Amino acid sequence: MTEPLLDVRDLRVSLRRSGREVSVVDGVSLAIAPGEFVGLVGESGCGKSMTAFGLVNLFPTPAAHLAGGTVTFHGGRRLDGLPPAAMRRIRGAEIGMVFQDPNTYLDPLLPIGHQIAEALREHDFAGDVDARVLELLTLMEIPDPALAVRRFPHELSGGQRQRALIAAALAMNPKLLIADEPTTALDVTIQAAILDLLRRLRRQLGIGVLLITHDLGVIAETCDRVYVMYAGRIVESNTTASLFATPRHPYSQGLIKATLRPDRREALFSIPGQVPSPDSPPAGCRFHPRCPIAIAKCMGQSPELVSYDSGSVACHRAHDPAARTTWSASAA
Amino acid sequence: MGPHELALLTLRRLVAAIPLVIGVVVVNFTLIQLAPGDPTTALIGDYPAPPGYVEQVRAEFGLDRPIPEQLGRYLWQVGHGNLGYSFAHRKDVGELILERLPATLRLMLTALAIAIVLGVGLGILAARRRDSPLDHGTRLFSMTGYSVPEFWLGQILILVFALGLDLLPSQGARSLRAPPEGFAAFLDGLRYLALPAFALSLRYIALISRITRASLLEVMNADYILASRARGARERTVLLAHALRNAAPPIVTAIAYDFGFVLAGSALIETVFGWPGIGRLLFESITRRDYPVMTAILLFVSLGVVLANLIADLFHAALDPRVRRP
Repeated sequence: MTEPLLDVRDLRVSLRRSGREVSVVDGVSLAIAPGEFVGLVGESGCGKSMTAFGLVNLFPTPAAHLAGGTVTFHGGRRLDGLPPAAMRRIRGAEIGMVFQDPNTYLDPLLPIGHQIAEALREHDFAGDVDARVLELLTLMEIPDPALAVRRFPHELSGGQRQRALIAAALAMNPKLLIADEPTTALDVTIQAAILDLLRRLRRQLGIGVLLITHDLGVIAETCDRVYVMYAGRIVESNTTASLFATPRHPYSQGLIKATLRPDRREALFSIPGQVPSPDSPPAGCRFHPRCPIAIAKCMGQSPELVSYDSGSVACHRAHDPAARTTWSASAA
Repeated sequence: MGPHELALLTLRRLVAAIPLVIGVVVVNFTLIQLAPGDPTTALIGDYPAPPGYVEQVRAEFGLDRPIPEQLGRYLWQVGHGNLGYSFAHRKDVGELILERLPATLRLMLTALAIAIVLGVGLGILAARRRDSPLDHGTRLFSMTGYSVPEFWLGQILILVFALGLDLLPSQGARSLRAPPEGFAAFLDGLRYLALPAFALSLRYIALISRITRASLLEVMNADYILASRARGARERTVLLAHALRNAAPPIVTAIAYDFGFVLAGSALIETVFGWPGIGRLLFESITRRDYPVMTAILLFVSLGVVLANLIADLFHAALDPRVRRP
């Protein structure tokens, strides 16, 4: 890989909960090359959103904070430990963010044109702000941009709101777009349109994208590479094609098996058990209580991420042939 | 919002207020009739008057008619702009109120302005520095400010600033001996205004600061605040462009709601500070059983409340596109 656009090493995020520190992101490392479309997948509550917020050191709750690790961005700049004023100049200018629910992430009292222009004004955009806003709305394929700039969020459809938010995130031509479940709150047809839009923007603008989702179907449609996250840690990473063809980690195998597919007639598979609470993660491999092929070692010793071919996996039994088809015998 | 939309909304709210105001007049009139006592006793005085004379006076003012008829006549009169005749002042009620209105408006609007500026300011500071000593201090101040009765506070202020330190005047609205002119008259007015306006505003500083703090803290958790920060917005922009706008509706509602209470509170404050306004007139007319003045003042108070709420509604409509274009 050439010099990465974003290189994250051992990122840790903690929550202060009634006087106690609870680790929600526990040593995540990932890299994104310039123009690469990378997925981060995992169940709700596995820490994938907190990882994204940690990258730009901006959290939805004051209880959350960075607890360690390094974030190196384009040009070898360290983002962790950057003073707030300097971090602000990177947010929205070099790293754009798009969120889950376009209904709540737009200010209901301001026209969307104003909110897109905010990204430009706050970064002292040198050109014509109004012209740039119109250009962005056109790029987002919002019909009748001249009229749309003056529309309020409640006058737009969900898909158009998400397009407006993407326009605001891309206003300053960032090099990286972090998209946190950008399609989850949308109808299926709108989802497809937004994914198409993201793919086209990546091609057209050459931006790197970190797509966070719980939906492997979305990953399969869009991403070059995938990181699979479980209970605050990365358990496997690979190119999308290889991950779907030969998932190594039992958790990845389970996730793929649990994907709804029209050619399968049997009852939908689900991994038994629940995601452990970050208050009391299990010792050893965090997946072992739900893993059908766990051995004694898994309970005592946490597996390291080990590289192979194009990917890496954190599983003590990854090289055991029996571990290739973990769930076939115990299929629910 | 276009002027057409604004005019239409104003008209709609004003029409809706008509039955409300009529209802207020009816209830006030009936309540006062139900209260014991007769204005003729106050009018004639304590002299043992011959029964025939009392009857004559009652007939003169129409007090011998059945209550529904009196109410009907009163509504008819008020509808034609005639607020009646004051027994005690032997003067037209409308004239009497118009004479006193400017002083009360000056006191009330000053008190409200102080309450809004200090209340909103303190609320923002407390919310921005949540759980800091400043926040706790503001909360303590609010609780105290809200619990202190305004007439008591007025008397303490007089004791300290007028009698003790001899800094400010305690009675009246302007210097009567050697009245100053021009700008000096304005400054003189401010000196007289200071103590009563502060005494009247303290409770509302407390209320408004509490509501501002709570509303702002809630809004600061909203997703669009996070989105604005993710866009790289400066904290000043986040606060002014997004947080305060979205936090404003409950604050404005509270201010409009307080308006009626400030009017009521001014009755006590004006009495304590000898302020020549409607509040003191109300107090006097209650002690003298001057019914026409009482009902007319209560009518003015309810009109004031209706007007304050109308302004709040218009403010909401100007602020929130969902209100004007649902």
